[in-house]
Amino acid sequence: MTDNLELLVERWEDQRTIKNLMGKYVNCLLLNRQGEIFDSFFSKKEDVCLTFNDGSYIGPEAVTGYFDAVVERNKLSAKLLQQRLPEKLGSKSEEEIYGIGPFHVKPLTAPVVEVAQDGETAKGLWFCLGCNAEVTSRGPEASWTWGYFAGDFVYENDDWKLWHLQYLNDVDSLCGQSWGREVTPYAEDDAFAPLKDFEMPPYTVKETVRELYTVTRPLTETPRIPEPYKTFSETFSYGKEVL
Amino acid sequence: MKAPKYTDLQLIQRVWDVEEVKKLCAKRCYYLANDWRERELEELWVTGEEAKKTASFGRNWGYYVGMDAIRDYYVNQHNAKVDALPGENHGDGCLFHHPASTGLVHEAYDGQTARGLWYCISQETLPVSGTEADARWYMEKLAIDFLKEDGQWKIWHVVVATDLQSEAGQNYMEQPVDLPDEENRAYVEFGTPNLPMRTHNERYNWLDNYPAPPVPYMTFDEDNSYGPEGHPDYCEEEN
Repeated sequence: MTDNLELLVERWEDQRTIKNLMGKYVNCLLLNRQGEIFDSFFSKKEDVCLTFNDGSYIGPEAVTGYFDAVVERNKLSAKLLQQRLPEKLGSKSEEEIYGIGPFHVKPLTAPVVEVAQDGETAKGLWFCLGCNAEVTSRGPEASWTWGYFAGDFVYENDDWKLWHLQYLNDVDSLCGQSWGREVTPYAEDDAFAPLKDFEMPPYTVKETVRELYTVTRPLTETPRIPEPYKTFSETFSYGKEVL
Repeated sequence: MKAPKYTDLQLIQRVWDVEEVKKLCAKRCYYLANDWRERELEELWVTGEEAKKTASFGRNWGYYVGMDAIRDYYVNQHNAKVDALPGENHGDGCLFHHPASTGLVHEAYDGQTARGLWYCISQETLPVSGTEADARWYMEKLAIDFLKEDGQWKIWHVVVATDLQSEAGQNYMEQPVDLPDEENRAYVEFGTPNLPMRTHNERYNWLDNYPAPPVPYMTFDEDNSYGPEGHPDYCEEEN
């Protein structure tokens, strides 16, 4: 490590800012403010990327399309709950009920953040013992979501921004039942049937990035742990190229 | 205890020391999830000959002391147990999640050691057949002493104190208060340490305050460590 005082302070502030950025990101998920995420936290780069277990959204249009769809789904969930609970929610406007229902808890821990020596980019990996309270075509249901957030960050216009983000789960399984055994789904509920027809936008690249846990899944390594590096071209990427 | 006067460079170095110690603990979480236990001992633990002799890994039922004993338990016995599970390849159907959170770290004022305490809401899932696995929650305190070797922070003493364990999807309140040893997966996993002693009681997990949170300190003292000598019930004559 350098003995340049100013650089040591700057790098420490960089990694703190990156941790705070991810804290703000998951707080937006918690508050169902997905509509604010892209403009607030993502880079202006054309190859921004958001990856889940079964595919990637690549490019600004695809990533914003994903978050816009989540907002629309939140609206639909709230509307169906309003219809189901007229005595509590019936008199409220669409704006007032927005956010009722989904509750995405994604606390981050075990951060490993490496800022490039050139200070232009950074990488981070977090563990996430999360849970989702989601409104589905079976009604409200809660799941454990155990996984990882892994991101590339870029210093842009005097601020750190998300460049590539992976949110990959090992476990996504109903609470109250063991993920090690066959999970019994709840019955479909006609009151929430419209959610069955709601489709998220197709991935730019649809592929199995990470299999969810099953008893036959091979031991699956976590996303690669960031390592100290000089400049981005000398390290790996959490992003995905369109071939 | 009053902190010494440091220069600005020394102060930011100490800030980075705590950051590096937390990062080391975090890396261990991913090594555990990847079942990289041999790599963990090789890359993250102490390497100096004297430090290797006094390295320790403790759980509720005692300590493995010395890197050879730690390796035998932590790598060799573990691998044999995992290899004996259903599944074709090592680790099929296994999950090892011990994410450390709520870190509390103090670096010694002399800058040579550091001590940290974390809490882990953990789970381990092990296959019991080709179609089912035993998924189990573990609530654990994780305490670590760190030693600076040639400018690099290394793990020296570890204590994993289990507060409770429960099968996923089951009601903890319906579980017997005291699991028989043979049904206590953490007890069975820990095997026979070379320094057996009751360090932490799952039944009265609030009572013994072990491992206790670190406090500011001047220099390392084994009597205030997360090694066995730091346990309030450690008796030198018996060991």
